[in-house]
Amino acid sequence: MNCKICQEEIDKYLEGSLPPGSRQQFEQHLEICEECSEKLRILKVADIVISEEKRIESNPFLSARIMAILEGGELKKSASIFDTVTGRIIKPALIGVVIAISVFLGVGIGNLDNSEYLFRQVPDEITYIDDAEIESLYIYLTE
Amino acid sequence: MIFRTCMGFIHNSDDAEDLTQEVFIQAYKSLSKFRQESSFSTWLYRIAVNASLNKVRRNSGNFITRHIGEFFRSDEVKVPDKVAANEENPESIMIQDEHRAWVQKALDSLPENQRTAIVLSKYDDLSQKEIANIMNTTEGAVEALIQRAKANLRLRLAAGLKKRDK
Repeated sequence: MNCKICQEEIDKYLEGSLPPGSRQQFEQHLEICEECSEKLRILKVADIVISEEKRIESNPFLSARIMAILEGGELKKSASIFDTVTGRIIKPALIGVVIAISVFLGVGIGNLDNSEYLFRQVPDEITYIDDAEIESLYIYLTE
Repeated sequence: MIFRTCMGFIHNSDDAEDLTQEVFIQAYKSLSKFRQESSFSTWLYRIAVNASLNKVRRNSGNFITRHIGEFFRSDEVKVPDKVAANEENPESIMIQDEHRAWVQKALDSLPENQRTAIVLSKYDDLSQKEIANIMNTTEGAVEALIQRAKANLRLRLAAGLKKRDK
């Protein structure tokens, strides 16, 4: 057996459907050909991983859950406003409005707080300053 | 059967269960569109394949979701019976995990039609005729797809093994 035939027969060998004579020739070739035995090893690894994944069972309650959804009102709920075409427009619009209101309120509250803070920082002397008492610059200019 | 198909595409049992649920709800909603041109199982498989491919596309498109998913998946990998029964040592468990990751990655990197053909063949043990009906193509085309998928898998896995040996 050569490498080309070995490659063609590799799947049958893995499935166990290779006739005994060919199987023996195949195994003899594997003993002398490192490349083919490496390819077989790789495919065996893939087969093991796939069969492991196949052994994983779904949750025993999955079918009951699906049946409950199909029979009950949850299906109606899932087909609510957000699943409809209008919902696809309304949903982002609502999110936009909520963000805009949040920003507006945030800025408003922030400014409110800020003005109080500034007001608190102004000393009384400056707040009640009387401009009439300030010495006029005219006196200095004329002197 | 639908759960297995979803597992073949998603490799995560929780996501596969959600997807199975989605498939049945979608099928229930579209029952009126079922024209009985094919068998019911073929029609259901088509819905499952399309839903799985859509899910895969969504996941691969979203970089952040993908990485968050991978992060949680690494903790949540289903433990094979042998490992759970402590029949194998930690090293072989590690090697098995590594192999699982390679094979899943190699499967995920296949083109969609090759991936669909190999999942339906390997995970659901469907015949080439059944796969051809689901994929709306000929048996010859399915055979070619499976052969190409196997060759690609072999190449990608070999590259992974070489990387490890280095």
